[in-house]
Amino acid sequence: MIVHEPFWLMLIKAALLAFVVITIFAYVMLAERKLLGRFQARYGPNRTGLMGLMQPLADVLKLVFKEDFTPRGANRVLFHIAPALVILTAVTGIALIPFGTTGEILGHEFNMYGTDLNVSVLVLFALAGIGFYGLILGGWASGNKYSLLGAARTAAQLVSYEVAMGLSIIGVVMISQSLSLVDIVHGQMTSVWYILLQPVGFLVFLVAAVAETNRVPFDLPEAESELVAGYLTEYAGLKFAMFAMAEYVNMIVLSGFGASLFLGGFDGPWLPGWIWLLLKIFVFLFGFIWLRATLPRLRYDQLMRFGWKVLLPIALVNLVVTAIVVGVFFQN
Amino acid sequence: MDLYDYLPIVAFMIAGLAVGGAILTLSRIGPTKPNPAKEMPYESGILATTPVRQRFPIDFYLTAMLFIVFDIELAFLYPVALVMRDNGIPALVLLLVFTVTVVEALAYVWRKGALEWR
Repeated sequence: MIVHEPFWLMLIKAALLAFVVITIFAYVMLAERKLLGRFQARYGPNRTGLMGLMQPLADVLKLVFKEDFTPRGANRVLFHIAPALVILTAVTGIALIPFGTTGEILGHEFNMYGTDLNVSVLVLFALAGIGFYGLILGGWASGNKYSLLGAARTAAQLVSYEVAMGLSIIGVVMISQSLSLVDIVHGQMTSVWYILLQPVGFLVFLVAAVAETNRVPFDLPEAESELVAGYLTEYAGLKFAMFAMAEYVNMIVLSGFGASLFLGGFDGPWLPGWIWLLLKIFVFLFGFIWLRATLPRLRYDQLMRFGWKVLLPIALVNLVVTAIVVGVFFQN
Repeated sequence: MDLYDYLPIVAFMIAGLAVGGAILTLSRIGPTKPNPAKEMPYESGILATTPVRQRFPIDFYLTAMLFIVFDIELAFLYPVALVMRDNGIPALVLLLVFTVTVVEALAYVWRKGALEWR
């Protein structure tokens, strides 16, 4: 099944997928602003180009010509590296999302994913873990109290919810007996989508995913009313945009991850697999936006209490129940 | 499954570096007119008098330590989960015993109040 590809093909695929995902990011951001507008009974951006479709380009142009200065107390090297590090890990995560098995263009066969490892799930966690460094270094290196507090909060929040997220996936791993996303999707093709077998795991995963991407109602790291903008406070222009971009690319990657684990990934009738995966990703993204339009922000102690005292026990109970059912009734 | 499968990760890292580097380079286009007031750390308009890096609430350290404990326990759960269907009851007993220790640790830190945010 797996086609051995030369390195140049991998590079082309990487460049293409990165380009596609970044384009999706630009339009998800526009869609978010438009939808938020509709949720609040207004139009949202509709002046730039047809129906506001050129808005992302206008935003980028504006950000390019913004002055980009470094605050006096900042650690100059880390201040500049941090946004690039966040982008690096976010883009690398795209490699692990399977859009299908194999495809063919002009007689050349290729894999419809960056790579399919037998530890894909763990690699995604590792990449997310490295991505945290970018946020935390960015906040620490700014030389600003708001940034530093925002960074510390980000660190505490992300690690707290990572535990719950890791636990919520173990049920799927038990059923599919694999950590490779392609194998997990194939497992769902031959049985049912794992959301039906692991509804609790899915809910825990969803909540943790919202927290991991710092979205409302868990956007404490950038709580405007108390921290100005958290770790972003001193960033301006394109560096500011890089953090936003990384956040959205992470959202897309996590959506693809969740879709592959629970919603059958590229599985679906009639349409090609990659369209199904994209549709499922858009469903997730719409959920993210909907939450943002609906929910108020939690208080920080509520956030931590919820993560450790509600989400973690639920995930543990789910794990034990799944283990008993799988271990006793569904042995090979 | 060999190391070759990890090569695409390198390719995507190169792509990520290219994107990040390109944007960092582009960010040089904007004007640079520094002045002392502009370069001050933002403190809602007040002059910064105290040093930036100060003492921190202990809760952040506690959370970090708890994370390390639970994340390592999590890492041990993955291999057992993988072979659960192949090994059945023995693997189940193993996992349950291990989970009891995890729950015990959680109950302990809970009772001790380490999960309270002060």
